[in-house]
Amino acid sequence: MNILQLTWKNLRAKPLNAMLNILLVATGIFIISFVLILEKQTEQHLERNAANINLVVGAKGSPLQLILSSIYQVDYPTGNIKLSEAEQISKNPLVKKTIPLALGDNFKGFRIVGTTHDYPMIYDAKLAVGKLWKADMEVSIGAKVAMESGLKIGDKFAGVHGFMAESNDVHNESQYMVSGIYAPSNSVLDQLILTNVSSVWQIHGSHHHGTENDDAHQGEHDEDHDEHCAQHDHNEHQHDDTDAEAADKEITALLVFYRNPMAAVTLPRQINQNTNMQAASPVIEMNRLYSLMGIGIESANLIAYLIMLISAFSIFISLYNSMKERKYELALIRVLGGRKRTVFSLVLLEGLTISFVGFITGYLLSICASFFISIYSESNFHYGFNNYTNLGTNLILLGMSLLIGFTASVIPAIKSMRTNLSKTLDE
Amino acid sequence: MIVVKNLHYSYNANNSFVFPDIICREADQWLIKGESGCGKTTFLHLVAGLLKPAVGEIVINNVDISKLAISEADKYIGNEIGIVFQKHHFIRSLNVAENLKLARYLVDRKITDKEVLDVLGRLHLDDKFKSPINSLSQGEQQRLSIARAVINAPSLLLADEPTSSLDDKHCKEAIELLCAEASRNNTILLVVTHDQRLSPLFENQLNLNTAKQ
Repeated sequence: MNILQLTWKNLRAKPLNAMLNILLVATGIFIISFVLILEKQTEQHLERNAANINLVVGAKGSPLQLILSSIYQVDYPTGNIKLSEAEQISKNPLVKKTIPLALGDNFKGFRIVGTTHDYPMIYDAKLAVGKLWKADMEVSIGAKVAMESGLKIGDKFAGVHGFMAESNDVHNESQYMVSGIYAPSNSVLDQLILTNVSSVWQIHGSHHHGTENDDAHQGEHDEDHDEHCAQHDHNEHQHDDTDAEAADKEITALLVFYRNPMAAVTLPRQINQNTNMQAASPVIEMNRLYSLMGIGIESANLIAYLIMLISAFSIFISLYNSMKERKYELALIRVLGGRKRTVFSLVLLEGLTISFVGFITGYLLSICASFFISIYSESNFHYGFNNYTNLGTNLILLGMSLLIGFTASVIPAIKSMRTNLSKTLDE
Repeated sequence: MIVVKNLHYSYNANNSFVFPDIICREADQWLIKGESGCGKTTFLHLVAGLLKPAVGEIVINNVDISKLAISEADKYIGNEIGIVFQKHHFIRSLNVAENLKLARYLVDRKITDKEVLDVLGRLHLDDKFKSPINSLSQGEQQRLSIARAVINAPSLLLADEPTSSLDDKHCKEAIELLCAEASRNNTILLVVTHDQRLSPLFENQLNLNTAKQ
């Protein structure tokens, strides 16, 4: 029998009170910790994938949508741009490097991206086996794609039109062949199938007119089809007199790297004002996104802190009442040889135990919740969460919980320590 | 040995007490008698160290407990004095055995289950080892009070009105148990009471009726 056991038994003697208080602390900690995990994970993904891309050029539309679709591969693209116009940007002296992206198809929900070998280089991706795509219809696939689809070197597969795995518009006539598989790079690349731009053109060039009318009857999918698939609008441009073929070709977006910072001032404006393309800066758009998310995060945190405050009051009231009920017991402990500080720590320990158990419960809840959210976002966006824990933050949250337990119990503890023994026992 | 000398205590100007001197030798058993309001409980609390006297000394085994610092007094009293209160206070969240073990823990000493069983056996509570306090009858609670008071083998055993709520049969039984427990360790027993039934049972008696000033 020691003081910790006594604390525990005292709490267990009033299980409903204890549970209510633990639940309050746990809820507060859960919300704070869960929001932190979400925030941290989102930030990590967003930053890692932004990879120093200075500008994204694509079709007119929502700039945020352009960034989300071409850098993070989550939203639908805004449309297509002409290859000839995109090439003009590449020739601009302010531009160091550009990378074209041609989207349009997927395989089991993983996007097939027509691009150049520069694209995997911006994420420092290394091939685990095989080699980079070289000829048309060869692909190098991300680690997650390989793991989930089971594709191996030399395997062949047909892309599905659009970005939904469920689409029934399968490009059966031309199949891709896996030439290489990337090692995990912890970036968007893990969930992509990379090939060259002309493979994407080839697929859509060959099937295009045959299926368009069928597509027209398919509701939503039809829209995706026309907007997002590279090289669709043949008719519009077929009368261009010079370089008819190049003018005909389209890509979805162009990733731009500046040669010097001056470019940031002039280039986006040039593109937005003088062409029918739009230029969006990942930094600006992401900051906009953060500030939108920020309101949600702040209100969630506000609620959490409010709950923590309520939990402090609740613990205080519970302890205060139970001290009144148990003043004989506490006086008895003194008479049996317990010191003042024994009684003091007994009451304090009850408050601290509640807040500690509350912290552990809330923390475990947040891990479970982020685990399930991870499964959800994995299946919906192919974005998983990795490390759930952050020691520093958890220690701060633990400290916060204990502080609440301490604050709530210190007054009842002092009060019971100062009880007049003779008077109490004589009552 | 216990020596109480020149003991004064006052709650306020109209309510003060001067207690008669008393010297108890090892294994003495005393009855401290008096009407209600004559200062019996005050006397008991003074001797138990729960109150500090205004004047006078209470010497238990050559230590004047009225002069001890609070932190020393707690342990010393826990070790040297066992008290059976008029109301039976226990830690309700603990069971019978745990209540006894706690009394030993609070004076920083260890106890074995066998010791607990022994004392429970002597007080006819053998089968209550793991019982919750709430399941005990009044009589059982009183015997458990006695068990807890003697578990640390104190030099002084104090009992405050131990028989006031008992019928004649249980009154006799309770006093016999108290006396038996006290004599086991040559403990000095002071029974504070206004219960006239106890008078014939004690050789040494002290009357407090004149204590109130």
